[in-house]
Amino acid sequence: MGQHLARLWRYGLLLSRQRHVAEDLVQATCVRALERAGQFVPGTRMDRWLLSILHSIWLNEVRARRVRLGQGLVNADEALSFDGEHAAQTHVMAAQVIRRVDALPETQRETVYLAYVEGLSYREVAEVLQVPIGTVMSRLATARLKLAEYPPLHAVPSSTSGERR
Amino acid sequence: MTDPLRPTILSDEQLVAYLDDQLDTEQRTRIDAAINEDPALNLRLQWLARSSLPFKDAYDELGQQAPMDRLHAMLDTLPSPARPALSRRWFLAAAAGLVVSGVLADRLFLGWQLSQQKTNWRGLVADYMSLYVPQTLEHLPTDEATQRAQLRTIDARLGLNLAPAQLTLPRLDFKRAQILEYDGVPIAQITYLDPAHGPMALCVTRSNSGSRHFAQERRHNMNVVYWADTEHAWMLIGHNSMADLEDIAKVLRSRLSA
Repeated sequence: MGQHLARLWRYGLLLSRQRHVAEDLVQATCVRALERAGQFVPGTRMDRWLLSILHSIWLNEVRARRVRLGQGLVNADEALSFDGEHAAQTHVMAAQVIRRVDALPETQRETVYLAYVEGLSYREVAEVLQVPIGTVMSRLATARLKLAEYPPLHAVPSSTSGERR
Repeated sequence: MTDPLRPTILSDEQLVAYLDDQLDTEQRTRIDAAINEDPALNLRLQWLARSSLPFKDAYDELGQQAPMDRLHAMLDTLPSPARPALSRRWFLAAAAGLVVSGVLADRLFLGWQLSQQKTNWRGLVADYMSLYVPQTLEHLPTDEATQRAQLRTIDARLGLNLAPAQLTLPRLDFKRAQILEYDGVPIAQITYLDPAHGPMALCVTRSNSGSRHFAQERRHNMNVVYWADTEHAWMLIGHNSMADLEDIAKVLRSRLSA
């Protein structure tokens, strides 16, 4: 499970857009996974299993609670995954890609992430997200149409504000 | 050629699935044909393809910013289903075991691991050492036959030729030599007990990043002196003073390179 911590963390960050929430999500996922260790089917991919646990905790517990408490969810514009301190350490191209993905609505964001970052098949994405394959396909098509509208990635950073369309 | 009686109305979903290589052969062939015939469809496909960004590379970079020290420390606090009293060792063993079984040999993590390895193996060792107390090392068999057998194991995994005489230190008791493994990378840990400062360890892993002079750092309130020769990276970690550790390191390095 220790092998997957970095991947769980970045998925948590993608969903919540907040570093401290991402850490909490990883912890909750590990706790849940240990509690349910008996449900893990040997021979299947542990990473998929952990991603689906994290997703369900986010959807059913963390996200729901935040909405109820009236804290709202964080907008991409307000809190990008790359805050200034970390952006400096990160390749400019990577920062652009992540900023564009972050600007997508949550359902498209998570679908793009699982399909294109984690490399899951449509069927596997559907299993993790607990939605029909048709939903996965329409989310990806909608997301890709939005992403296609951006200018090509550039290696030299312009001002941050000029990045989003 | 497509059947004129069955016009090819292709949705963006189908084109995206085509780009994502998620279609079976028959569907692919059908779309290939439609694209050849319909320039507008071809343009649409090219427009959608503009959204193919280096997603994986970008998030791999983001993953490197994960607070691994805190996450591993968190994992250590969780009860292990297998061996509650040995959570760190359970974790290391589980990591090694899962790698062998292939479940975790995914390129993403390995890439991260390799990029972090040069500095991070010391972090892993420090995490591990931070759990040591003098009692950890009590009641260990310290006869020379046991030590030689332990050293042979290390020699075999790391391509070394260690002798107890090279590792004997004044004032400190040689307690145990063992192999740890993280993500398939063996790390040898040779533990000493200092009557004044508690557990201290000499650790070594394979390295090909060239010979390096002594350097110092602090991890988990312990002092670390580390260096490298052409084939191995070494570190000495403990609660001893930095000067003390560096003196020991000099002695060990000269003996080990002799």
